Amino acid sequence: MEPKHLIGRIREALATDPRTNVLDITIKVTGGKAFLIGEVASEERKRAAADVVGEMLPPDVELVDELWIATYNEPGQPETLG
Amino acid sequence: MRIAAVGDVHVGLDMRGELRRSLSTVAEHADVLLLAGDLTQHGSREEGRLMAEEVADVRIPTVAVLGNHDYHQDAQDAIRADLEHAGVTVLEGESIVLDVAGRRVGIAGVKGFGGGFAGACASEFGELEMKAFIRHTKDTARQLLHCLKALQCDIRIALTHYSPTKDTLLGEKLEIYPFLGSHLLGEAIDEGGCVLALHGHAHHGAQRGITPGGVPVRNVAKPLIRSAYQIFAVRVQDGLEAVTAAPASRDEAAAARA
Repeated sequence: MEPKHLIGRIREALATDPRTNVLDITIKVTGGKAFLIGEVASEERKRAAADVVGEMLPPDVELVDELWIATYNEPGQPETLG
Repeated sequence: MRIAAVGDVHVGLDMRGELRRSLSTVAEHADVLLLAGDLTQHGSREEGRLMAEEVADVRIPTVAVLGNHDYHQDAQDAIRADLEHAGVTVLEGESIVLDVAGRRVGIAGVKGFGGGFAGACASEFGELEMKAFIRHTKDTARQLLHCLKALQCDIRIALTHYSPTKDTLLGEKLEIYPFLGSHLLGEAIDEGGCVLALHGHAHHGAQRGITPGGVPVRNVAKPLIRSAYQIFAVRVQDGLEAVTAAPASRDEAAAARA
């Protein structure tokens, strides 16, 4: 399968699979590898994304999970308007 | 007047307690909390119940709109009901006036929708599906304008999930702009006379923008602001004219576009 077609299918799977429903993971397919890149909210969501994509990849494409778990800061100073 | 705002918290059953912890001190920093949609990840009833539990202890008025994720399982009505039971005001083509620090703050809220921005936007033309898409955007923009105009208050704030300007999409892929917002929302905000427009949805966008009419727009998607919430201090003087867009915001948006 052409890498760009595979990217489209992975994106659709991540968006519609009830385990993920995620829209903002970057997907790259090159050199026989499919890369998932981006931030997710939890270890469970990271695992789910890898599971969903891993189940649909052709056997000759290796999954590379480059997802990381989000961390957030304390709120900063207010922005003054007006 | 201090306004805390965050969108795209995407609460799931795997995150029980996290949002509650992150909002535990919000009442010390703000007078009102605004939630800009995508409150759940999968849009399930269970997530809606959890979201309601997570915000039930917030001790300041909390106003929300829902986002596209909250509609995914057609459970938006149940999610709304649970949030309202927890004391959250949920707006969809509706408004509320709050007495905040002695001033009447009007908040008009809609989810909004896509369609794109002037010069690169879809029209209500062609197939039924395309016309339905844009009709939904027009309807939601019309509702927002109607709400804003009907508000009797000292200042007006627009709360949406989708973006009213492409300024705050900078960083997103250009190809998906039509799915992230619509200029029609920006038109409604300009015509309705807001001091501030808040939205989420664009996780990879920019925080600051401005409508063509000069209303400051802030994208408060949590993955973008990288914080539990963003705080805005709005100086209310003698009415609407005193608190329109700060020139600095205009400069920032122009610089971002350059």
